[in-house]
Amino acid sequence: MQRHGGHLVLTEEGLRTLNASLGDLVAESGARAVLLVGGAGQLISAQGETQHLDTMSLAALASGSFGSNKAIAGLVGESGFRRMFQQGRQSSLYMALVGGADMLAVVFPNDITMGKIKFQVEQAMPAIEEALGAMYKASPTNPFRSAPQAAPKIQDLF
Amino acid sequence: MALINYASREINCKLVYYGTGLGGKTTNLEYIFKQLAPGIRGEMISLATETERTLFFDFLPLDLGSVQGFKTKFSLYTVPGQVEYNASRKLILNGVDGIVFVADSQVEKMGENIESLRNMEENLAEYGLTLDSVPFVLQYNKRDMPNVSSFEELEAALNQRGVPSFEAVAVEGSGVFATLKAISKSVLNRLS
Repeated sequence: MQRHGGHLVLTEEGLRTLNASLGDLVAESGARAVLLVGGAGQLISAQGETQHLDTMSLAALASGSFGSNKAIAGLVGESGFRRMFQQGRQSSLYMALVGGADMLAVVFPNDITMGKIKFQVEQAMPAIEEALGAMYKASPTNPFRSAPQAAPKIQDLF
Repeated sequence: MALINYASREINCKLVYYGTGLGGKTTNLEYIFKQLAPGIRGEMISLATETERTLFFDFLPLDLGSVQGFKTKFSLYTVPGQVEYNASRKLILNGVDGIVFVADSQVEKMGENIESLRNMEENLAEYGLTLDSVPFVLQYNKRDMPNVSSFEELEAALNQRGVPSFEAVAVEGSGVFATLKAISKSVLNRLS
């Protein structure tokens, strides 16, 4: 997935498209929640039952886990693992690479099979990649220069 | 790589505290965590060994308030300082928006500081970044220790770019928020 300008700007329209795809994935798979996580560990968006999840921390840790497994992949002659599965007693986590660097983290109860989650993720992936890719392409290098009315007054921060 | 969400009016940036092992990176985050109200900061996560050395990273999310309608959210990370954990350090620098280099002021640590700074530049280069392209500040920690290099000696050895630098005693909180303020401003300035 091509990245322009170094920053990712999430627009209302782009997020609406993305969230529709993530919401469909939750509905079709029966997952508890789906998180879209940037390569740097930041939460891009989440759908499902997220109110009782610490989504920020989950995003950071899932990204770290995915990244460290990339190093393991290197040791067995792979450039990276595109899919990962972590099984718990009641809930499990399925992670999938999106584009080249971002990832989906799907939290689901164990009464749903991993095969179903995997199938639904593969079905949803093209639309998610397209929606995210469109926002990367449209992201300006200097987002606030492009929107001067939104420029933060940094001196007000502290 | 900052994440700017025009729908929720949020800016999300990643700050990384880098430096030698036992230099005080985790102590910086612990002090920030203790001092800020739960509404401003999230839970701090430490992936540490049994002896509380950082194994992978520490993570602390902060909401630093709104500026002109944009909520500013910062994710603070530390790296493991021990030499053998370079793969982890490299991983955590992925997508970094700003760096705090925490130097240990003790005279005998000068060589390790220089080596850690060099290691950081090598790891940044793997992402196509340099210390001129990423906002960067220095913190000279452990100023309360008996055998420390002078501020001028530290500047000469570590601060050839003349970036903002701060003396600190992180365990007491001295210099911790001044450092955080400087790097946050620098990161947001870079976006505009």
